[in-house]
Amino acid sequence: MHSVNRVPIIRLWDLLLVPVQGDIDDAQAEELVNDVLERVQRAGCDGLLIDLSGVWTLDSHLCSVMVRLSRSAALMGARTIVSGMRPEIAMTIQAMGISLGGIQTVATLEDALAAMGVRSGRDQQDVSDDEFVRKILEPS
Amino acid sequence: MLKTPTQQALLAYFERYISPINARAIVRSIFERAGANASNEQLYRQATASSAIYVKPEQRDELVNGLRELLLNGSAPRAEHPSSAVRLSEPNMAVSVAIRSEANLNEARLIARQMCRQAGLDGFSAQKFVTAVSELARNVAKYASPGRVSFVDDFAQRKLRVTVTDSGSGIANLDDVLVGKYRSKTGMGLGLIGTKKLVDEFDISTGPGGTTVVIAVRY
Repeated sequence: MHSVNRVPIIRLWDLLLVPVQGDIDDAQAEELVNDVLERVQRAGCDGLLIDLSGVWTLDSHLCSVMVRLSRSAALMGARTIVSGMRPEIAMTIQAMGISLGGIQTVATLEDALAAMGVRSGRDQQDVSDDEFVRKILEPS
Repeated sequence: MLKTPTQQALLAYFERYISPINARAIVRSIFERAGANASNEQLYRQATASSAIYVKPEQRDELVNGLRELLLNGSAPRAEHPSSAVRLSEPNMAVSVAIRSEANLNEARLIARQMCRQAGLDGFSAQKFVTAVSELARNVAKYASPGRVSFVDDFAQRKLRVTVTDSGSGIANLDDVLVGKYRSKTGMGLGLIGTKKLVDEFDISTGPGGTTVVIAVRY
């Protein structure tokens, strides 16, 4: 039954992306920690991106699971960034006084990737397009 | 949903007795069970069956008479003394979830979310409510199982109220926990204080026979 509900762990170059969605029960959370740490070790990843944009509820337990995961990953040499926390979830954990134990958080997955040093190739394309256009328009 | 004249009439009828939210739920279930093309006769039977469980035995006749007039005789039942009308259910429709292990938490959260949707709570308010329920249910599962989470939509006061009871041995150092002096390694203290900050009303009583926490949020 749990294999159906398993949170996917997606390899992105030397990073692991974990899109957490819906309601995560404790068993799934435990499984996730084990799976991710195993993957970090096996694949020798540098970074762990946890995206929470699809999470319904973040309670103190899930927060502490994430803190535990990120600390363990740090011991294994992987840095964790959490992204996509919805405003109401952020406000709720703030109101409760829960801390994420120093995990770096950013607004979007793009920001997380940027913080890990991944840059969009499309930006570079845009830049070269701009240059191309400028060359055409520039009176030579 | 609930657009046809018959649906509207039934809705209006039930709303005289119970909250609009619960009325909508009952009417919806009547039409779901009877089918879209049901005759008034079938609707009447389904309506009687569906609503019977929400009424005290001595009130059943009155309700059934009204439904018969409405659906079979085609006349709206008399709106006699609407203020002192019989109240369906006791005092409001309640739902509860048994908490035996952490596997039951999802169900509790699901119902909490459903209550929010029905009460029109969303965003931050809904998130606070669902998280509070999650924290309290977790405390039960972790330290004092089995227990129960009961939800009541108190439409008179426009509040969602949740009562969480457990069969643990009570919280010995409750005062310390509530002022934040005590914090277990697993974060139990944080859960209770945190919950208190999320809700409009928070009441806790504890003893050797177990702990009861009542929370409420306004909507």
